[in-house]
Amino acid sequence: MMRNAANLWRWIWVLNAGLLIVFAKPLYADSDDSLKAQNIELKKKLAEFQTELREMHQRMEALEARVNGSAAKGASAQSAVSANPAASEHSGPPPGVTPAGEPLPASPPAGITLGSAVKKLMPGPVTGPTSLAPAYANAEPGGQGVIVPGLEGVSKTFIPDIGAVGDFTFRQSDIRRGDARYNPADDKFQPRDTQLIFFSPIDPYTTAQISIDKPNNGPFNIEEAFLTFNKLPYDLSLRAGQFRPAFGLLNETDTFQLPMVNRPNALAFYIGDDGLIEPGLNVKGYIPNPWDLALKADFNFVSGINQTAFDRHQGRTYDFAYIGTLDYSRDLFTTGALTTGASFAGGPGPGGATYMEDPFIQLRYAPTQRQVWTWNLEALLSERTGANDHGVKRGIYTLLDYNFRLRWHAGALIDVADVPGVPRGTELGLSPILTYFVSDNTRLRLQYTHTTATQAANGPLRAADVVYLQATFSLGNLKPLD
Amino acid sequence: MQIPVAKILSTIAIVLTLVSRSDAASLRVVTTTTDLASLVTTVGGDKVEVEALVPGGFNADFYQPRPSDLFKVHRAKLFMQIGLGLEEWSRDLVNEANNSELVKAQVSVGIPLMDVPKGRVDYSFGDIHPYGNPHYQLDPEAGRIMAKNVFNALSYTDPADKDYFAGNLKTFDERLTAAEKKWDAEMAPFAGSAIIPYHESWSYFARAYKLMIPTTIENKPGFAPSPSRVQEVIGIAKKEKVRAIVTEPYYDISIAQLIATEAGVPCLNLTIDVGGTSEQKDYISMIDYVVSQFVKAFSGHGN
Repeated sequence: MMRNAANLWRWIWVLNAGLLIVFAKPLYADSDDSLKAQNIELKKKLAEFQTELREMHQRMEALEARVNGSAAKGASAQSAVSANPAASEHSGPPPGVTPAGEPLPASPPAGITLGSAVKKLMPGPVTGPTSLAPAYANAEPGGQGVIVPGLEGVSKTFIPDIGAVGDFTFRQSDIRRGDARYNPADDKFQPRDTQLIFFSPIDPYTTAQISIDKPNNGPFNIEEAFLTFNKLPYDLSLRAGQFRPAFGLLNETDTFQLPMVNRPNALAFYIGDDGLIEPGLNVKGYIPNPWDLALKADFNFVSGINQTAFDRHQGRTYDFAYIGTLDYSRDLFTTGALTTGASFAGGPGPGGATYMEDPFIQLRYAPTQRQVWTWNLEALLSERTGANDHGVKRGIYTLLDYNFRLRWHAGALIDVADVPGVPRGTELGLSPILTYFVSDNTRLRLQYTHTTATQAANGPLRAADVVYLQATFSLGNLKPLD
Repeated sequence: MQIPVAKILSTIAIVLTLVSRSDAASLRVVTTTTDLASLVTTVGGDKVEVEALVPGGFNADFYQPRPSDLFKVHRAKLFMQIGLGLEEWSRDLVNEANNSELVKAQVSVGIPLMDVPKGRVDYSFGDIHPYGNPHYQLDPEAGRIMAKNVFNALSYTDPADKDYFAGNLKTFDERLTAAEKKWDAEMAPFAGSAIIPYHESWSYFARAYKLMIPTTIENKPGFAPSPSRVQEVIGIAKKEKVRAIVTEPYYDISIAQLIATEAGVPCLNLTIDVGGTSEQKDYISMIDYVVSQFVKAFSGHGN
């Protein structure tokens, strides 16, 4: 039994040895060829890598030579400034200085070290294929190519500044059924206005801005779209497109930016709730004078599409509207300011023409930064010749705003306006207003308005009491709240 | 009531044609802050005409430009600012002023910055400055670099007077060095003392004089603290044995005073810019005033 087992083991050993002899040589031979092939491949790759390395080395040396040359120049200039600043000579602007004609830099000046947070926000690889940056073509979506807009100083390669606005109101009134103003839809929460705003320089001489607006009772529309040319002779500025022309104190202010919930009736009755927004041309500039007075002139040649103010369909095809403003401003006391001026407008009206004048004054007094008084007084005189001629209609409002604590404003608005479309009838509105800025981007407002009884085109109107709550945000600083 | 548009326009045109732009002989400089205006006056001497937009005692961070500021920038030759996002309003101002000859300069170049945020930055962090703390003017060594940057900007804009500016810079440098020796000696006994400021305005001052800042009253920059935060700060003030609560006039002084009273330490309400008080006539006297108030408070003679 034991001998049989020993024989079995012997046979197994012999078989193994035979197998080793039979198969060992071919296996060795295959391994040798494979290694040789690998060796050749590696040598080939090494040669390629060495060639690439040599090229990289040469490029690196060339770059180092250039850097050292610049550094040597910079170091010598720097030491010269340190030793004797007057001795320094430079061909370009020193660090931090932006020459005339160039915009204020968006990125921090040289010498400032960015934190990793900001570095993360710097534009990185673009997503998607590009012939310019093949190495970035496989970048992860949502990676470093994402740019955060509106953060001042973060460079945004060819991406426009973006702003977003939301204006939400709640209204509760005692206007009841039977009153011409009665509309149950008004006394509800309303997303009154939502906007997206884009702004960017489009070449060294021109900037462009577009506002896409979604009002509560209407579809998306382009509220503003205009080009601005700032490099004109005499430092004039030219705008072309659809925009808010300067007219009085508030017309350049969007409705959600107003210091009250709604545009005062003194203006809204004659230029509409949203003010004048017109397609056309605008030119503005300072009027040079030997007394260094801050005199500014603004002239607009526009289509006159505002249905409340003008009526281009009633005019002749070549009738346009014009809107002009002349204003003067100066400092008052140490920290206050005065602005005064007048606007005028003319254009086609229903069956004739519309002419408007708008004198205004604004006083600001700020004994401290926590106590700022602002007083606005603005009047509007409107005359229509033709079908709806009821003589000169007048509106006037005054607003006293007191910024009594950081972020807190209390205001009082008195708003008197002749009602359009009737021979007689004047509406008086009184409104206390309380505004709180949660931050620079968010604003809450409470306003109560009492209006007296008056006569309107569709019958007598009762006195009314209305309470408004308003919540507004504006991101991106393109249309700031304050 | 037809408006005589043609007459108005022709009057404007005549004025534009006949009256040439009045160019002053001296270099017109507009600065955002009074500290910068003081340094420009010191280095520029009688070769410059300087206007600061933000009045002394006001915070440049939430300054609202006046309509007349547009005109000041419009007629200036050089516009200088602190930078680092302190004057976010300045970009619109410069754009609207439409001055094609305006040279713009930031004086933060070369200053070792503090409080540069790390990690993600967004509006939930409050009124944060993404490039770092811009209140560097309270460090006298930063003031020296600011003056050098002012010299660079003036020399670039008006190369003919470079030697004159260099002489003034040298004089300022010497005066600042002498003042620094005095301030160092006065503040040396208080090195290591802890203070709690309302806002992050005192980081550079604390670095210069080796003071400790365990926290600020504001939990998030630019936002008033909640009642629970006030209680928390009182606790920190007691635990860290702070020697003063420090605020500026435009913050809620009553909160700072409450914390100081609860912690049993003086409350310093200090203006940190030229023109803030009658004693702060220029950059050096501004720092001198601030140092003297700290010395008084730490010595037990403060308010």
